[in-house]
Amino acid sequence: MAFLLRKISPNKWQPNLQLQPENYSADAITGCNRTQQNTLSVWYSETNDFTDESVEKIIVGLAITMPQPAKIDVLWLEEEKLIASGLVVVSTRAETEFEQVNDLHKDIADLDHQKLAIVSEHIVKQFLDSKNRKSITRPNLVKLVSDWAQKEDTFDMNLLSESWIDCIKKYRERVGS
Amino acid sequence: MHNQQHQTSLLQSGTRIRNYLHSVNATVASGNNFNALAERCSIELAQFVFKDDYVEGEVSKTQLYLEKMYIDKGVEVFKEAFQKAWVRLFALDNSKHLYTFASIASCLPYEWLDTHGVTLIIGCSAHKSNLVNEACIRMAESWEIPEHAVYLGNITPFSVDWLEDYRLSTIEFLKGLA
Repeated sequence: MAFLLRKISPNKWQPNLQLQPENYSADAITGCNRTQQNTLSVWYSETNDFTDESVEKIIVGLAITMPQPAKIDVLWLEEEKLIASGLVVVSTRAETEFEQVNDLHKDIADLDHQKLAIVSEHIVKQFLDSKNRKSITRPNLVKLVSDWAQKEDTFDMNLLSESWIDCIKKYRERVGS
Repeated sequence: MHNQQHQTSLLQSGTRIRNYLHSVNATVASGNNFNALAERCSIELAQFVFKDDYVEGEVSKTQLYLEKMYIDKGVEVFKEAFQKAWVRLFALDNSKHLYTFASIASCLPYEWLDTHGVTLIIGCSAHKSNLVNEACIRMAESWEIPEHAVYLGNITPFSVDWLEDYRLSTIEFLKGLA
């Protein structure tokens, strides 16, 4: 199976879990989905095992696109189900410093009102099963990015944002690495 | 108290806020008064919060405004305006605004806030909204001050599992920093 990892704001979806799709709050659809040029950014994976190394890598890829570290929540979407529902999923190379993962970036594209509703319904369905989501605390995210930056052929942490560099340095000073 | 309520309701009315800002600006211009300047900044800050949305890891307009205020107005005005703003937001019916404010505050350097940051943590921990409670822990987690473990440890445990787990894991994290 193919999975698509998406960063979400759980608090925007929580109020919708008991609702019918037509009643989902606009805040969740517009505030959390936050489309750009009618697309939603996702990261492709062949496994939904959060402990798998390949998944760690795409979480790092996602994280370093953020200007600053923060606690985040991520959710698995199922690519086949989205496509079967009429959605278009296209590969769109990311521009992160972590070259290895850039080709794993995709967009759910050509979104309109109807298709956005389909995505929202899928997000709620996936959200209801806790194995599909993971909350990553800020310290754990900083550790993950720091650890991967120390591996060979990954990325140079000095090319990240100032905020990331500061946090990683503080983390490394703390653990003595 | 009456004045507090007056100012809180002011924040919710566009026309009245403009008139009020005019009067505050006049006071600032005439006397360069610290309190009036802090007052004006706190109202502008709240206005930014009303129109803003916290997105994890992103830089919001409110954050940029806070950073500009710190640089342009200095630390004392910054701290006063910061505190005036959140105290007002706490009184509003819509807790989303306090959540937004506190979450964005987590992105600021703690050195800018000092004990004003601690009071916001304590204030948010007492709020009835789980969202605001989450922001309270987010701040402590983000600021990485080991002493804050004591404050998180002394607040009433949260009844919601994920929130309580977050509180406990953050306490452990902060203790580990000591």
